[in-house]
Amino acid sequence: MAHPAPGHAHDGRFERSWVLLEQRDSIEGLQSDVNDALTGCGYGEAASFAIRLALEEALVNGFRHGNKGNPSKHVTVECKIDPQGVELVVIDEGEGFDPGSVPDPTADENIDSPSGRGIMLMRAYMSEVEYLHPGNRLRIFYSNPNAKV
Amino acid sequence: MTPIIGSLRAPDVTFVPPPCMTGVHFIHMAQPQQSFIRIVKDPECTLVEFTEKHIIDEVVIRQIGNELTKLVDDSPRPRIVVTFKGVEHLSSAALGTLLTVMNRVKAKDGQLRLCDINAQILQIFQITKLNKILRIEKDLASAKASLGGTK
Repeated sequence: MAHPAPGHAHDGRFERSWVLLEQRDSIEGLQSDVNDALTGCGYGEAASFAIRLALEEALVNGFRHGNKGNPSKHVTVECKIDPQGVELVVIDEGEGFDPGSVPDPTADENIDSPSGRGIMLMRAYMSEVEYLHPGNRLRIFYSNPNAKV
Repeated sequence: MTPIIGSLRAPDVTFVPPPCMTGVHFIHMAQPQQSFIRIVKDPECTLVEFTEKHIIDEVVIRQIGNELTKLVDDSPRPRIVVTFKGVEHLSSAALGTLLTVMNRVKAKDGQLRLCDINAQILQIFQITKLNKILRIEKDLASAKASLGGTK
């Protein structure tokens, strides 16, 4: 099997990592690179929308909750795309996060609370969402609905 | 499913430097506050349009929240229609800001309507069930028509 050149979509495959500080232009650059890779690997608009949204929520959680807004701390993003799906691992420098600590934002008592919907949206748009030990590594996976079995 | 991790080579790593490391210096304190909404006074309501198609940046969302809050605070009984025409992406932080604004509008016995929301964005409101507590109308005409009470 031919391997993709790092950072370039080839034969429906792509792989790259980024190390980011909380700078909007860096985040936009990452989103643009991932979007270009998705297009290059044959993914459509629905996938681009879902992955952009999930990645944005993951980055916000990493910078705000994981790194607690410390501007000197980084978030690392690993992206692997192939015809089966898109895997993103978002790693912050925090001590870990328990997703069970976030209350259900659709419960009557929380419905008008302004926070707590990021993880819910990731779970809605991604096929798999899991926090890996010790809780500062978030893995999200988008399964390609058009993948050949 | 094919294990994608094992089938690919080790990734290259790109460090994206902040502006201060590339010789480009941004002095945020000296920049005037940029607005990300356009406010149109209408005889029937105050119409709010977004100037950004991606409402995902926390700085942008905070600024939008500040401007909408001022709009509500400056009106004795606000009647606000927010149009999402041209908006392509929305984050959970933006939803939170809309809820905060909605609560302020309700506290003043005012009315808030959202309209012109595309199918993808509407799905976000439906997933989070916010379509049940935020009043969403198809377009500007129906949003205006839905506003009750005195002007």
